[in-house]
Formats: sequence, C-alpha cells, structure tokens
Amino acid sequence: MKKLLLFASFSLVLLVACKKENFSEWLIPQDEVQDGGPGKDGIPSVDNPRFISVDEVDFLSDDDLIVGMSYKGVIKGYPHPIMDWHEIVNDEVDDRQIALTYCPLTGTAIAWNRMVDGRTTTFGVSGKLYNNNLIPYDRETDSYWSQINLNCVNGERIGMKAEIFPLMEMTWGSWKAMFPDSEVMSTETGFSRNYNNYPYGDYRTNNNSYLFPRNPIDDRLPGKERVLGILNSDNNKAYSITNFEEPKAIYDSVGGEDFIIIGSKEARFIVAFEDNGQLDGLTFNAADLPIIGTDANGNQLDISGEIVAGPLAGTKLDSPDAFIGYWFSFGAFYPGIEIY
Amino acid sequence: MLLFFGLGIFELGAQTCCSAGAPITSSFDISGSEIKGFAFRFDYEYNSVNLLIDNNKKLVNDPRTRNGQSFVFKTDFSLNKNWAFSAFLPVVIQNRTTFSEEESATGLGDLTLLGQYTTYLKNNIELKWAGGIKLPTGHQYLQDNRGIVLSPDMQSGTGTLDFIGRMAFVKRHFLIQNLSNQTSISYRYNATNNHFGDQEKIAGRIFKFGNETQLTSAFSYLFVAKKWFIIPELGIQIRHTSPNQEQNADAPNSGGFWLRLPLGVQLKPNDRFSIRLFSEVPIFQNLEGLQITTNYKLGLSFGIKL
Repeated sequence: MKKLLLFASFSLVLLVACKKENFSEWLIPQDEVQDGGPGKDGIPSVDNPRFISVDEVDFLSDDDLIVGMSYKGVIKGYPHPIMDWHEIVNDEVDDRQIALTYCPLTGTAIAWNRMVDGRTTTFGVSGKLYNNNLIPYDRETDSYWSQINLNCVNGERIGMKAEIFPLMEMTWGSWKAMFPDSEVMSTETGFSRNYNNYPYGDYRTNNNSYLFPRNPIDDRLPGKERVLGILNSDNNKAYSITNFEEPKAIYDSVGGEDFIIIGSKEARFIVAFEDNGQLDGLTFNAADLPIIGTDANGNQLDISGEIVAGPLAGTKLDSPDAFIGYWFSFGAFYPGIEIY
Repeated sequence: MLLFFGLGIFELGAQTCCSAGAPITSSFDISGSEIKGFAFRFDYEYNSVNLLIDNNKKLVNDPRTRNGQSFVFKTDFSLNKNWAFSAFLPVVIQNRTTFSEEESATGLGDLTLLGQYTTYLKNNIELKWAGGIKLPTGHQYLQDNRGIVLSPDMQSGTGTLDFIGRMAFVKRHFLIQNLSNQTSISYRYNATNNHFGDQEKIAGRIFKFGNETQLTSAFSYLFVAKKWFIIPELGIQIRHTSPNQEQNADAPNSGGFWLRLPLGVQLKPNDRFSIRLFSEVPIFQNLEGLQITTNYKLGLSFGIKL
C-alpha cells in the first residue's frame, strides 16, 4: 500500500512537471510572442453564432469583405465587420465542426477543423500574438496554436498540425450576387459591439501602421496588399490581388504541383484549386456567378471548386492549403516566399 | 494651521491606456511642511477599470474585469517658502481576469522626482509651478505563466524617462471663510520605449503611452469638530490623453477625453497628521474607439509632517 501511494505521488509529480514543461516549450520564438492587452478571451469568440438570410442583412455595405464556406450544399458567410470584433467563431457547417479563425491584424481568415485527435473542441482568442498574428487556443487542452503557421506551438498538443478547410473571400456585393440563398452570420452574437465601426482606424490601408514587430520585414509588396498564399510543403507562393486587375484564371505550379488560380480585383476574390489536368484552357467567366470559369469542353467551374455543368459536372476540385491575408504576414511567416 | 489646509486636493496623474496602465495616481502636489522640514505620505489606491466604452457609448458584456492597485510612498521637503521638492515611488499590482484566465502582475513602479517653486504667496493666494521627471525604475518585463512578457498596461513601469509640468493656483477663504479652491493644470510627456520588454532579448516592440493633459479644479472646506479638522473636498477634472503609439504609429482604441468627479474627505487631529479618504467617479468620456476605462477609484492616504 505504501509503495502504491509512493508510486501514485511520484506519477502525480511527474505529470505536473510534464504539464509545466509543455507550457514552457514553444515552437516559435518565445520572446517574439506579444501580449496584446485584452487577455485570454478578452476578445470574445462567438460560440453560438446565429444566421440570417441575405435579404435580412442590413449592416453591410457592398464593399465590405465576407468570408465563407460552401460544403454539402450549405453555404455560410462570416462578415469581416463581425470577425474584426471576435476573431473566432466556433460553428458547424453540415457535419463539419469548424473554427473560423480570423486575425484582423494580418487579415487572414482560416477555417480549422475543431475535431482534434478525434475529440471536438472549441477555440478561443489567447490574447497573444506572434508576428501580429492571432494565437488561438483550444479549450480542451489549453494548447496555443499559430494561425498562419497552422500548427500548435505551445502546450499539450505542441507540434500538431491544424487541418484546414477551404474558404472563399469576396465583397459583400459579390457574395449576395453569388449566394442569394446563403446564410449570413448575424450581429446577434451575444455581445454589444458597434459592428458598423472598424476597430483599428486606418490600419487595413496604412502600409506604415503595424501594432507589433514584424520579423522579418519583406517590403517587396506593400504591407497591406491582399494576397493569396499557396502553401505546398516548403514551397510557397503569393498571388497579389493586383494580378487580377483583369479577372482571369492563371495556370501555375508551386513546388512542382500544378494549380489553377482565379481572381478578380473588383470582386476582391482569389481562389486556388489543384489542377488535375481535367479542365482544359479555363477562361474567366463571370457572366453567371457563382460560375467563374468555363473550359474548352464546356465545363463550368464555380467559386467553391465544383464543376456544375459540362462533361465533368459533379466533380469537385481539391483545394490546396491556401488563404488570403496582408502581404507582410506572408513575408514574415514564410520568409523568401515566391511572388507570382 | 490654516496655511496647509486644502492642499490634499486632487491632482491625479494616472497613466492609463485602454486597459488601465500603471495607476500612479499619487498627488503631484507637494505638502506644505515647515521650512527645511520633511513630510511623508503613504497612499493606497484601488482603480476599478470595468467600464466598456465605444467612443462615448457604454457597452455591456465585456468578458474582462480589470483593476489596478498602487501603494505610493512619498517624501516632500520644503527648502524655504518658495522651493519644495518631492519624490514618490509606487508599488503596483495589476489584475486582469476573464472567464479563462486570472493574470496578476506586481512590481516596483517608476520613481518620480518633482521640484516646486511658489512665485506668489500672499493675501491667501498661492501660485505654484512644478516640474519633474519620472525615472524608469519600474518593471517592464513582468511575465505570464508561459514566460510571455505582459502588455505595457500590465507592467508596473514604463521603461522610459518622462517629463511632468504643472501649474497650480490656490485661493484660500474663497468667497467665504474656510472655503478654498485649487485649480491646477498638469502635462505629462511620455517618451517612447524602443525596447519594451527587452530583458536582453530582441523583442523589438516599440511602445509609447499617450501624452496627458489634466485640468482640475476643486473646493475644500474646513470644519472643526472636537479639535479635529475635517476637510471635505469636491472637484471636477478634465483629462485628455493622446493615443498610445505602437511601432511609432497611433494605436487604435487608446486616448480620449474624460470628465470626472473627484471627491474625498481629510481628517486632521492636528497640523502634523492627516488621513484622507478619496474617490473618483466618471461623469462623461469620449474615447478613441473601444476601451475599458475606470468606473471608480478609491483611495486612502496617511500623512505626517516633521
């Protein structure tokens, strides 16, 4: 009995020591992690989002950005003006458990799978930032994750990679034209906030305004220019919205893999799909949104990557790990990233 | 005796930002001790920062609660009838609580040194000028339990050499016997910390608290009861701070305009000892963006003159 108690005590001490060790180890430079000020959950995530129809939305202007997901016929939109205040929405899209993570300082919206290790969790805002970027934490283990690095950087799940789901980002004007029957997140978040007011002044357009240090600083493009970054192992490539002054489809390769990148500066969207060689000579076609391209064989591709008409109808193109954000954040997180 | 009454009137030098800042609210006023005499004071202040304001609109459902406490040790020295000097040093406790975290940081604050010159002193009127510096003696690298340096407003010091200027006008027996008025204006220039939280590492965070202007006008009245002097105080305070700066650019959601009501009471068993209970409540504020700000302050002060 005495030995058993001794063993139990020793195990407990070891467990506590291991837990402490997990919190002291970081996969990103610890001294470059910044405390933003509001504290953990000081910026409240929305854990029970409500949705309204497009017709009921009265708080967005046509130029506002919205990010959304299309999955199994369910289309949900999450407006930037709400995400600016909450940064994380824990939600479900059909059978997907998602955490829509959004960092207003890097302008990055990325949907993560909330099923981690086979268990459902919710994510919250840790109040910490790395390279100006959101560090979400999973509430099940209190592990800290790097949004743009797409991995757990501190805590029990350290080293684990985040599984991400493809998103679409565009103006509200484009969204309501493309998805008139979609669901849009409502301002009834459970918190009283002025969603008509962008909370960071001129930050999103001022290329000289940064709230925290950037390391490294890459000035090849203006810091706040919106780009789509395709991450393919150690080969990454950025596509600026300015590449799409004229809406078009680009066939390109990243790290030896082929992709189709389609964008429109006016509608402020860029999407990327893996090019499996099935679509032949895709050209941009915005005549019948959300169809954005038609190939030489009459296959019509919509913005979610689904071929909705033509010989390949019903086929869904795979999406790479890709997301849109301010240029400076790609320069800081993926040093030397290639620019298209 | 009457020479000194009313000098406890408010002159709060709070350094606040969106989340409170180092609450060094010790009086800038220098006690009127005897010539070539010392005066000592100990102040405790509790600053509750739980008012969520979006510009001038009050919001609800803030997941945070925030408070700061300070213990200030102050020494004044009067060289002659014109010159007086003061030094004060705070110990600061900052608390930040959400449903998932309780963060507390305690540390030595910044040492402030002031010199005061009285240019006019007759007919129950005083005109005083003061200037001084705040030295970076406080902590700027207090960390959380994961080893991350806490934000500037959670630190007990700013890591900068700051400058303070002040002018005060005092009128005793104002309109009626035993009523005094003190009106003062103060300005604090806060320097930029180019190595916030550095502690031999290269974090590279550049931070500056916004400069602060404060105008206070307060009245006090002297009662005598059972040989005790009782001095109630009531005033009005206007405060303006420019936005903080992060990486040399204005930080959103910081700075603004505040209108506050300071009030208190001083008890003096004689001319050497004083006890003062004071408070401050907001009347109106128009802030830049969304900020949590003070919903009330409470303080207690003990003074002795030698």
